[in-house]
Amino acid sequence: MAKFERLFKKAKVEEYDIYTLKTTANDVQLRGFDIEAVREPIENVGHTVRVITREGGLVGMGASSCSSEKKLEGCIGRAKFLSTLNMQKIKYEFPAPKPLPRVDIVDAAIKEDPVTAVNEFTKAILGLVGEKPRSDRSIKPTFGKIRTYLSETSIENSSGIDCAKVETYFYFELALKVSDGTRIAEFWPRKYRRRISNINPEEEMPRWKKLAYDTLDAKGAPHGKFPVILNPESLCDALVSPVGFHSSGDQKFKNQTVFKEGDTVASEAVAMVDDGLLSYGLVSSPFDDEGNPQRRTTIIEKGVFKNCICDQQYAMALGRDPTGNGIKPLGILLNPLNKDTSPVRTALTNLSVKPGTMSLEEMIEDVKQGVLIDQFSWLNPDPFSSSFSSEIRNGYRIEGGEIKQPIKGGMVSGKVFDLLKDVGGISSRAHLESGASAFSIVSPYMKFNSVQVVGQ
Amino acid sequence: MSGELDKVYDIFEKVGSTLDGKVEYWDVLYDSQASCSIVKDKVDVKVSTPELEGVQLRAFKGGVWLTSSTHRVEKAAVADLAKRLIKPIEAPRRVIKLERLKAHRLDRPLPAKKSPRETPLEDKLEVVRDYHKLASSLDKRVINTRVVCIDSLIERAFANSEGSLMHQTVPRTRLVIVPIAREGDRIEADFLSKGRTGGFEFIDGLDMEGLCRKAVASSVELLGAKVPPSGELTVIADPGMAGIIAHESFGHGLEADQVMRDRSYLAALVGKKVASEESTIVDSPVLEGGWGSYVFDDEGTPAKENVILDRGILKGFLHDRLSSSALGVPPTGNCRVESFLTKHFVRMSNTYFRPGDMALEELIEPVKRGVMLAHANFGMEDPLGGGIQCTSSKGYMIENGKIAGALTSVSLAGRVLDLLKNIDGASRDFEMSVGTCGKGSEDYVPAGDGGCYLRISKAMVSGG
Repeated sequence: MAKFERLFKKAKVEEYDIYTLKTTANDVQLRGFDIEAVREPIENVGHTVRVITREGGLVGMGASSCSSEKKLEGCIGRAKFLSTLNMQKIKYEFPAPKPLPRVDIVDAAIKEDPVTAVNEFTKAILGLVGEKPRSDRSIKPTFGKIRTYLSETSIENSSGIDCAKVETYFYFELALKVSDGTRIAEFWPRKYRRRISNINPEEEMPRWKKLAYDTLDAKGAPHGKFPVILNPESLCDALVSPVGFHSSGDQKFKNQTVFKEGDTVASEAVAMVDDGLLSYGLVSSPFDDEGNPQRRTTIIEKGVFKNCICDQQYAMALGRDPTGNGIKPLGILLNPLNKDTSPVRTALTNLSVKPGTMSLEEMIEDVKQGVLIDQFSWLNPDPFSSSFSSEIRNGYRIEGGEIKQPIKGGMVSGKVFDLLKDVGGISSRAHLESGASAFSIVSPYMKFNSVQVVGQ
Repeated sequence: MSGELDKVYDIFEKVGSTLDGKVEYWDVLYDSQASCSIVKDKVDVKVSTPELEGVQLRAFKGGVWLTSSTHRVEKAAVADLAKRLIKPIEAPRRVIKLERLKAHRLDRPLPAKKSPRETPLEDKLEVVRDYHKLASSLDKRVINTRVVCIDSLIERAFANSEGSLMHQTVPRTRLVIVPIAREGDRIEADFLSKGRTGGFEFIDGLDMEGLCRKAVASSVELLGAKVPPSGELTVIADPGMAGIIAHESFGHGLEADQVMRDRSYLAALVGKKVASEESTIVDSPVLEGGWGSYVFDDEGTPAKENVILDRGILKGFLHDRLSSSALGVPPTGNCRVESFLTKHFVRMSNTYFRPGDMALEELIEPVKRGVMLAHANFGMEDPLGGGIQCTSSKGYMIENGKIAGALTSVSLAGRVLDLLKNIDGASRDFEMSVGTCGKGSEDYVPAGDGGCYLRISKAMVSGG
């Protein structure tokens, strides 16, 4: 008998699932070069119960959550009661067990000794900030966070699913301030990874410091329509929300998507896959948050929209197979400590953009006058219309095929779907990145031919 | 938790007996968050009742905060965690001494006539169905309407090594209507959000028909809206956008932990005139009904109103205990956590522009070519660089002193101090909005923002 089955039998609940998340985190938070706070441990357990009641052809579903096994009986009773209140004409059955793939999502270093892992990374990163200083300008961290998460997730349901996984996350942010005595500037990297080793401080720190140093000399953005090159982090925020929204089966069922299977939605060079099995991908997992196996689903191939992604409910509504995209999405408002309380919805796992054949340098060489963006203030496109506008935090003006002038301020704006039909180049190397408003992408740099840049 | 408060206070005592004399200061926060969420669209209605409960312990030692958090609200488990806080630490380069403060005894709920817990779920469901039915019936171009009703009850108890013992409950109730309009391949959705601290009586008091008509008309209007012009224009910010400007552009730069980090562009400007006479900005957790209101902050400082910008003059920063100790001023009651799982930070509460004395028509009348930003959507802070980014979900073109047509979402960017100096008119309206505020990209707390209509003589805008 599965762990919680007895409780549901006692409550006379026949159809249910229970999602349990146990997470332990620890972090160090920095103020300048000093440690401001050490948080260890940060532990949480959450159980979310969903119950189905059927009456004639109607289906009612209720969900409730609690933070300890002692409260589960009450939680089940509440979910059962809620299910009786909202009987509706929908199709829903909890998924049945299917073979689950294997996927790498655990960092042994975090699993074995997270406190040492955080301390060693902190020491290394602070040491690198002070290395090889420039004589004409100072650099220092103003604040930072270095954190690990170790999570155990299990799902049981009345159809026989009884699965569990262990996964890790590493979160890092560090604001680097530079000054020449009169002017100040900042570069502020923020990143989620599965493994600490997915961030190589020796490789990254010189680039981050250069971005901070260069921003001190930044001028405002130019004004007009130019080729714009976005880095993978910016593409995460630009693409994941609108592409995910218009690729989802629930939006298709509700007639709220502009993507139709077989329609051209992007330039021919564009290919995107939802890759739920990417090794150490941030949303990789053997199973989604309903217990369906995750997989790879082609979204766009040669610019043509190929497939919807579906959770269990909308797969049934559309008469399709679920694609393992019933997700409690991490990102804004949710982190690995509390995502159990979020409802399942259709969402992308890891959006994987197919690399092109050019190097980034070759893409830049092709630009007579344009802009390269390294960080936006906060890029958060409207999922319905895909329209966006965001302030440039760190970027460069490109002139005559060369990086010329650092820029800060001004905006880049447009519609993501217009950009996708106007792709002028895709670099040859993909990078795994998290964004500020979206969670996971594996993407190269992309160049868009004519984008509105708003400057002085 | 009612009825179990004694158990929590027992745990607090145990923490005290474990940590007293072994650290410079300790405090303990009990956090219980229960909410009810109803989300209805044309396919189904989803009802859930998420809960979060736990305890966070903090000890201050040698200038460093040591923290542990657990969902196990049990004496033995919490005592074990308390013992783990008694450990050697590496002293920081700059050791700040935490000033001792007087103890507070306070047990006060924010009022709710119809408590979220006691309002029958059937009643809440019926209201959501009624809103959905009405909003869905008003215009054929609306292909779906999403109605969300969320209420929450946050209960927090606090004790510290100075003898404070405090307890508060904060109920919040919110209704959101999102009509989704479609014509051909064009899909647009605006949202209408109303919320306040208080119970379900707030929903009862709303004008359902008026709100549904307004929400539907706004989404449908977006179907014909044009892309905003890009460049420097005169801008009218509606009260919601004024609130975002106050919050993102100014408030975050006044959070004193940013000063301690040497990351605030406003640090050297206290007492100086940094904005026009028309600009007065207040942060107040005691604003009645404000979405970000509370009785005391999450380290036991009673809430109070703080004027941060008075007729253009920068008055001071928002503080927690540590920053107030470091800068030698009293704490302002602005230390907040998202939950027992997150770190304490200096945060805003309800941040707003005080109204002026002009009518909206008077603000618009002299504008030859400009843009009104309406329905605040989001913003992002830049405390070091002093930049601003705010985005509205729609806008209106202003030509020759008149509203000339709807625009799709509009973003405003530039330098905050330039923007504030360019405010040359404030209306006598006052409206607060419901928001969620992150510190960077984490640690979200409920925050209200708002104010009046503002006219900004020159600001950079673009389609959002």
